[in-house]
Amino acid sequence: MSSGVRWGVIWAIFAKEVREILRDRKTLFMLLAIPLLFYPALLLLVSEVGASQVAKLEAAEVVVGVAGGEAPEGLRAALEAPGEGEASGALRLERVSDPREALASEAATVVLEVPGDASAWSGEGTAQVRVWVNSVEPLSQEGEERVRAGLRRYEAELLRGRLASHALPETFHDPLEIVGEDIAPPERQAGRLLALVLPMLLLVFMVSGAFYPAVDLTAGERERKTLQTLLTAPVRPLEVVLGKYLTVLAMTLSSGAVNAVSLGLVGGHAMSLGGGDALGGLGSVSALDIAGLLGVVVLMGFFLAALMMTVASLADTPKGAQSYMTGVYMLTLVPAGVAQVPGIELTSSTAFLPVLNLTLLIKELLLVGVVGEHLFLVTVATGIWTLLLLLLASRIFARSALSVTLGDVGGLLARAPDPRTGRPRPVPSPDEALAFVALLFLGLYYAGSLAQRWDLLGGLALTLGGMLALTLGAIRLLRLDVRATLHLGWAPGRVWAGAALLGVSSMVWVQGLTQLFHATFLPIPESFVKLMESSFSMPESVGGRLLTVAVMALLPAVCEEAVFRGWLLSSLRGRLPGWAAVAVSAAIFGAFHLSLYRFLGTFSLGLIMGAMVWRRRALGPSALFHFLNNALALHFAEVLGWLGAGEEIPTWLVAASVVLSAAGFGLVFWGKAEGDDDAAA
Amino acid sequence: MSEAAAATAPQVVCEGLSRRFGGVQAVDGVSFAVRGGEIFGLLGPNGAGKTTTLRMLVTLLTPDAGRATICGHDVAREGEAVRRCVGYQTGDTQLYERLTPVEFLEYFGRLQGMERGLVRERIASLMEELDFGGYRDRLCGGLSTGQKQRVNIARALLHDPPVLILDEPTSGLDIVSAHFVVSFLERVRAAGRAVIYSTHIMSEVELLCDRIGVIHRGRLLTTGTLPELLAQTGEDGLTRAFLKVIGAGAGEGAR
Repeated sequence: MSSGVRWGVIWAIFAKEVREILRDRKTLFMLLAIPLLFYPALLLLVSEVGASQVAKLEAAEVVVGVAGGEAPEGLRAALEAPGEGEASGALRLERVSDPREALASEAATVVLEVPGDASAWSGEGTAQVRVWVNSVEPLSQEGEERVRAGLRRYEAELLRGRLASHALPETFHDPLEIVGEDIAPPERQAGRLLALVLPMLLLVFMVSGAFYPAVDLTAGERERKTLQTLLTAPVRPLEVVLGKYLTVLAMTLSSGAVNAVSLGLVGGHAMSLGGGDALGGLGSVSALDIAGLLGVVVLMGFFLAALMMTVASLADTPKGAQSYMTGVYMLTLVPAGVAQVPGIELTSSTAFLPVLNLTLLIKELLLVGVVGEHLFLVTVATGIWTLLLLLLASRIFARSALSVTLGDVGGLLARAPDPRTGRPRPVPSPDEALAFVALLFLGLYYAGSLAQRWDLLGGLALTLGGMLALTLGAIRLLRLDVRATLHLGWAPGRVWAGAALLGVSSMVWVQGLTQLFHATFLPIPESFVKLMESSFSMPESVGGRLLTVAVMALLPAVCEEAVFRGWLLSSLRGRLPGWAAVAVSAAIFGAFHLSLYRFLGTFSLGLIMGAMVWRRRALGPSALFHFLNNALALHFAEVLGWLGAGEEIPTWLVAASVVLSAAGFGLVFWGKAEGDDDAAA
Repeated sequence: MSEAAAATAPQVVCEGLSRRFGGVQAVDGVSFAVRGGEIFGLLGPNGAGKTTTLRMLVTLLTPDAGRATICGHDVAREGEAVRRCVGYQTGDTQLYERLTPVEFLEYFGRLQGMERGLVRERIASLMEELDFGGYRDRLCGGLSTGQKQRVNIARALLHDPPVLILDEPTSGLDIVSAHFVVSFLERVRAAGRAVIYSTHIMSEVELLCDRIGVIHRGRLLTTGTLPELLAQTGEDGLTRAFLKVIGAGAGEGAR
């Protein structure tokens, strides 16, 4: 499969698709007219009709049938005189014999059955009254409300009389006064309500925006046979996919935005009409929360657009695409519903489940506010899922310009030759490399965290070993050149010496800079520092210490280097300029540590190791660097605490480390880069 | 290479090209070559394997066996380079309905990586040759089949490809439009392009094609000039000669 994309081509495809959509009345109608006309119209209709119905009911006359004995005069008066703020309609009492019959024949709206024995009302016993209603009749319900209100008034009057006869104060029957106080700030109380509806609404809005363009740009284009014309132009499948994806994404986000704005305006209007007290606290939502919410909405758009487009591209005709997508749409509603269940929260295990993680993040944002670590994890997870979907879509496009068949799906794993040389590539293509690392992420995340819960060191060893084994397996499966893929070149002695110098010194200044950054911009929670310190703790025994060093320094040095500086970096050679390839691999390496607070440190080390391997084409020195760095970090954590938390790193140590690192950089990077001649050829 | 040799060097070479769909051998060991300035007619009944052969040449399908090169680039391994050298057009291709012909052509010019100025120049000259200036700013969705086909041919020739591959380009066209396409192709040949022209319309083949390949049930049964084909079959018209060839083919297939 061809890889490497030209942004000019992607932009041309995007611009053309957007132009066509903007000329399509049907899509514009779905996108703009429905939210901008539908919600206001709906609100107007519901509020007008509702208000007039309520007014009609409140003004209507209610006939209260009285069955059983005679209603005492006091009760009649309490019933006939409406209290303050109650319905103004008249209430008439009428004698009936059979309550059921009276209601069925509509002779009475509601029936009050009172005791036949008049003495039941006097004395200090309890008189039983029965209210008969027909609960499916709105007027009967209205009558019941009025009757109950009258009964309560009469009951209060009786109680006052009884208390007076015993010379008791009115507080006698009211020994407790219960007052509720909610310490949740008003915006969180409002957030609780919003958290129930917002995720589902956003999902519906965005999917409805993605739906038509996703179908039209994939299956629609295939059916009209313009796709084959497009694919006989010298474009690469990934370029076609990205151009179309950006279009679907733009529509998804616009739809989400237009709907949300319209709903917000309509909701605001409704609140101003009254009845919106519960949501009144939303006015005090912080700017950070709003930014966080917007960020999550964009993330949701990224994922949904990729999902919808990939699913639609599996179909030959728009009709087929619509039925696939309806199924997927229903499926996405399930996790969104699950997220509403109390007790289901964003944790490390739910953070990687698509849709569920995003809806849970919205819920968390509204209830608690932005939790940096969770936002980071969900961003990484969404990035991985989106990437996998887009790579899949580009494979589908590459294999099936004409129609999709089962055979094509089988061929999705087939390797295409390098478009420039025509020969099979000895190293993975960037899309193969990225897809593999993405799958590694997902697989190792669950398997690894499960194993590490059972035993930290054992689990870590298993995770790292698994990484290496899977990488070697993939190399074999794709029949790659293991030396080229893993950068197994030999480096001269001075490079090894330089790597060793860097390995013993970089950590000090990298940690110093990281510490400074976090202290200034992004404070690390105490609980996280404690967690890291317990993870990095060294046992007392010599054997235990050796084992810890082996698992936390030696194994990462071998296994992580093979994946990130071998497999991943070699795939980017010739596809990206050196600095970009190193930055991409370092960012993925940093993200792999699955923590916002560890990203900067691991990213920086990834840059050093990536640059070293890119220039020298040898994994050995960077593995040595990695080992020394990790071993020293363990020692450092023992002496100073994780990331030197709370302790100042001594100035002399920083100065010495900078000098040693400078020397190390010189030894590693000075001189001509390895293999530049082949690259030029 | 001298200029004369370049002009006559084969631009399209197929050797034993084959493709199977499930249990059906759609194309079975097809070999031929087409030079610049030559129109090669691929003649066969419906379902003969014409379209599959052409789709393999334009990299929409990959061959199961055999190989083909276009301007020296292998269709299976150098797809992108092949697509730069080929203009491809079928009778049933649609245009983007909500673009004008000029926007449509500009879009494909950008996908071909052409300079903006060059795209404009090419559009202007093709507009004159193919005479679609009268509806250059109307949306393609409102054009007639014949008008659409002119725009589509302009799209296939926009990047000035040395090879033009046409799959039943006159199907669905009225006689005036079809005649226009046929006479336009004579000019394309004169410009030195190699043209592969698939059809089942005998009169177009007689009029246009320098050499003819008869394909039936996935196999290329014979190739040659019109006189050679007539001499080979002993018939005096292409239709009878064609029927005789595929009749023999059917017999061979049944044996």
